[in-house]
Amino acid sequence: MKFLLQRLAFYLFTAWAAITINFFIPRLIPGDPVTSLINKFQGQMSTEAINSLYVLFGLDKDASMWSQYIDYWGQVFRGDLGLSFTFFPTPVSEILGQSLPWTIALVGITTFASFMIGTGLGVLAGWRRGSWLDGLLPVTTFLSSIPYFWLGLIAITLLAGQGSFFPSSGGYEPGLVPAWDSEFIGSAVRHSLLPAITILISSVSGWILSMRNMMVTVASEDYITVAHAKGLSERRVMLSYAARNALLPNVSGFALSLGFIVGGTLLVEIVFSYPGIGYNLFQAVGAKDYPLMQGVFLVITISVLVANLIADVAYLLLDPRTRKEG
Amino acid sequence: MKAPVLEIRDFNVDYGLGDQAVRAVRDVTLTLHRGEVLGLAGESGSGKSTLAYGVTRLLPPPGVISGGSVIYHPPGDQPYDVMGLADAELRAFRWAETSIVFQGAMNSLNPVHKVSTQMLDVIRAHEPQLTPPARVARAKEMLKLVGISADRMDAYPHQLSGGMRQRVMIGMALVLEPQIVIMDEPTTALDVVMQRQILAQLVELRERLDFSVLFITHDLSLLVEFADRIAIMYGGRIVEEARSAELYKDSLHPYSEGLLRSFPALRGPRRELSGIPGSPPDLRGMPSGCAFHPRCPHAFDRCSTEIPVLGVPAARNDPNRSVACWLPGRVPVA
Repeated sequence: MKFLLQRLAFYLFTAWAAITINFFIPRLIPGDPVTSLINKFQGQMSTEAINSLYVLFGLDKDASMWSQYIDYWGQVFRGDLGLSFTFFPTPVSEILGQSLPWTIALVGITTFASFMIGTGLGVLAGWRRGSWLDGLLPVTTFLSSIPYFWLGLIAITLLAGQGSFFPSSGGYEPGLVPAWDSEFIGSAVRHSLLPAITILISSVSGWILSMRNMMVTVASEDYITVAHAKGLSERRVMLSYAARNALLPNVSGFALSLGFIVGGTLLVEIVFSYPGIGYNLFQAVGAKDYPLMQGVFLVITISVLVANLIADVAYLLLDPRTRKEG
Repeated sequence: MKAPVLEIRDFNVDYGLGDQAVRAVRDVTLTLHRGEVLGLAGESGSGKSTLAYGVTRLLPPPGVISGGSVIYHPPGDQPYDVMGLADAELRAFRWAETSIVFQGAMNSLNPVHKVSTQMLDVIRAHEPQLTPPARVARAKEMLKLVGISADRMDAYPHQLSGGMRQRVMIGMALVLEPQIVIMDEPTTALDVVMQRQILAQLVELRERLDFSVLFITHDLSLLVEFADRIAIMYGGRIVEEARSAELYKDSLHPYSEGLLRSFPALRGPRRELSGIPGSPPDLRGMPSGCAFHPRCPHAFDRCSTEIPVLGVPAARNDPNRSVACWLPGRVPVA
């Protein structure tokens, strides 16, 4: 328990540091968001309007850095992340609220599936070394070494296009209104298939490889021989003795990859124009949309921290050696 | 003479296949009798552990049993060959009839499971008809016998000392009351005080539960005290077999003599420690004839050409002794 509280305190500190950095970085970047907004409106703005924009975005020169910082914290706690420049005047929190479910559904499910499939195959490949499953390794390793955006583009070129089952971009059929009905969900699933498959192909081999190698290492441990000598069934030895122990490094890897669900999908969403967080970030960077960028970074930071906390707790539950007796 | 419980006949184990194969155990014939402690001694690489793993069919690849049979005599039932058992029968045979205590006291327990989980799963696998409370009672009783208090049942292995872990392993080995317990250097990783305690306990347990022990060690001094009979292995073969007192006083094979001269006696007249010159043979390129002849102080022409046969030595007309040596008086009678 004490250990958990220590970890929690550490994560709170990290969160504070991350949010502070998140506040400063956009302000240190040269260039001015209002200028880019003015450019967007191509000079059709009056001086008063420009001045009021500066005030609105909190970029008026009068406020000191410190008072801006205090204001920023107040906004973070209220969940008010400012107004987006790109989608002016929509609040950033609303944009994130729309795109986050898409990213979490697509990448969350594929990350989980990739981990389960990869670990399962890894257990078998490591346990039955030299069987046909071992032949699978070079193939998956080859597929995972292909740069992701290229794999995505190839998939679009070959499989998507006019009259194809797979749509090439978007999260659902344009014209449909998002709702919990069969038509919309069917369309969403169909749009997510191609990105999901490409993510799966490029990520599954990492899980297979690490799980297989851990299985091979664990299989030569003395307690595995003892388990065989005890006359336990092959299944029990494989799962309860070998895989149970080999799983430990993979579980922490999985928990960490949960943190990258939100942030690590930039390429997927750009290639497939998928309406998720990564695509938001791409748009925000292009338009110097500071509030949106800050919002995306905030979400990514928090999700990485939460994933780390999950990794700590999972390890604590799975490996008794890390538990400190109170 | 007592009835046999395990007969190993013409047993051969190779590592690898074909021409590249290394023959680690050659033509070993050895009988373990009911209620006896049979010691198996030799230098590292002599094939002792390989023999133990082979007998229980636990050899990791590339180890291959290339010949021989292991006849097990269950009490009050027909004997059968362990080598001929199907997988399910083999699983039932393991631990219930023959359990093993392994070398590594530290690594024999799975670090992520409680002691209780690891003791109970073997009972559940072999005696599924027992109720869970009965299983727990059995495991607790066994731990008490080896001197571990019942409240350590829920401990994880890393919370136990090395000696306690080995006691747990011994308790686990006896929990199904097997006929045979194979001990592969069970005390090697422990300090001498702990060694003595555990061995004393083992002697006590053996009198109580009446199992036979195949005790493998490189420490011949330990065996002289503890074992009823001792077999000496060299280069994958048994070179001498005798009752331990006889072997200690009157060893016939020069290699046994060398081993006995490698440790000091606590009692009796002082003698010079000489050890054995040279090093154990490379199994990939065994010397011709008697494998020991390059290191043997008494070797003569015949030793380098013909492999000596294990048999009752002519000089001691005792059916309980056998030796494989060409020296005069040690050649088999017939």
